[in-house]
Amino acid sequence: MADRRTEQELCRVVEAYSATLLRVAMTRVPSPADAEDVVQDVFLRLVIHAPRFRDGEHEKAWLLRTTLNRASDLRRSRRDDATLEEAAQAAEEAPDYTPLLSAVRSLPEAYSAVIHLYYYEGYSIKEIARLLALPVPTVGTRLARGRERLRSILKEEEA
Amino acid sequence: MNQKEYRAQVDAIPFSPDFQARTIARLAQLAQEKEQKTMQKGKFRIGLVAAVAAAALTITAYAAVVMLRPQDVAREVGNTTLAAAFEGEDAIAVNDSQTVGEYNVTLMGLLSGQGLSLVEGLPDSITRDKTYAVLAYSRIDGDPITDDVPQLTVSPLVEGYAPWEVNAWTLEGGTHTFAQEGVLYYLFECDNVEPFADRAVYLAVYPGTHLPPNAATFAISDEGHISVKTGAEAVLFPLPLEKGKADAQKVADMGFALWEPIPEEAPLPQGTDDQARPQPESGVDIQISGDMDESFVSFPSASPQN
Repeated sequence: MADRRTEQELCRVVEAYSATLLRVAMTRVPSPADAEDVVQDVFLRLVIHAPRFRDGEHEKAWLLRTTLNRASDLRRSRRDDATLEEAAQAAEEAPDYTPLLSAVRSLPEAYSAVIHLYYYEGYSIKEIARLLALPVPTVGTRLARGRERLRSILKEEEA
Repeated sequence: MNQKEYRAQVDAIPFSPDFQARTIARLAQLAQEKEQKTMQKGKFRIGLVAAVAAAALTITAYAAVVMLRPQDVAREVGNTTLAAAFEGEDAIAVNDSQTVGEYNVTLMGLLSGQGLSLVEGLPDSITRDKTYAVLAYSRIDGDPITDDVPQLTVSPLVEGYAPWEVNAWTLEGGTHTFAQEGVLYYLFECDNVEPFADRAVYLAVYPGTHLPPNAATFAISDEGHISVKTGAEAVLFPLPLEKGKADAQKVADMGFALWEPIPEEAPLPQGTDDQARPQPESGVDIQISGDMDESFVSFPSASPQN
């Protein structure tokens, strides 16, 4: 039985989570406009499928995971559909992000999400494990490997 | 990594200032459209229970991306006879999707007939007369289903009979499941439900692993109408059976007791109405049938209660 969310409840969810979800989406998609498309799509899914959440944590975890999945889908579809020329043009037109942000965005998806949730959103390893439905050691490993990779990317850029 | 620097760089990303306002407006519009669609869909269903050809009208716009067809699912579990039957005229395409918890459940198709089960060659030329339903589960958050099999139970329910009287257990139900490309396919079979076709017959999907339907999830009115209890997480797919296939004699031979509400003046032995009614034992162990491949899970049989 689907819950029907009231307009007031929709406002609460959008206001509470938009900023976090847009930032998380940006770790996987090329532009702010794409991140906005992804997050809007996630909220639409929330209305369409009306999943039931046990509590606020469950709701947040669902929104984060769905955002990451949709962002990956969008990135994949762009990559699959684009011709070489289009890809080159998109790279030229891509916003010029600062080195650290660019480096995080260039990490494999599994690492960038964990790095972002840890360093920007301030979640602990245990909390990230709960949010992404991953074992705690996996999150710890991804965080360590992500940091290593970041270090080498930034070193290369400095050189 | 310099956390302060990273935060400052992320904060500088230029998102649209009106993003939230645009999104809320779009969601409100969608919620309104969905409400109207739900009302229209309810009207359709009342008139379409027996209208096989028109059953496709109940397809929702948001059905999961299901890669396989019912015949592919039957073939995948090794039942080529059933696969061929799903390509024939007797197969009913349903393609109705509903949400249960974190899953989008699609009832893809339905078929009833004899000699289609993998468990044939029984003594005394007994031929199994079964109903087969193919379902697909996908996660609504987009995560693929691999080995994390959804904790959901499937059971037929028949109007006029208590859910704990006629269900997957009392109709010798069984399932085959497998995951492919993130979708879990579920082939359910049970004794043919077509003899009940002059009543509303449902396929219920609800949380729990091989948990018989009980009074905590389902309600039956004095007139025998079955519904999901308020607050319970379950869905009912109406099965578009042909009324002409109803067979009162076969139903009588099955020996199920019609639902009889407990009279108001009758004393309730254990305090509440629900507790007083007969219910199957819950949490019954899964049995793996020995005469077929190990992926087939049979529901433990239970004698009809008279």
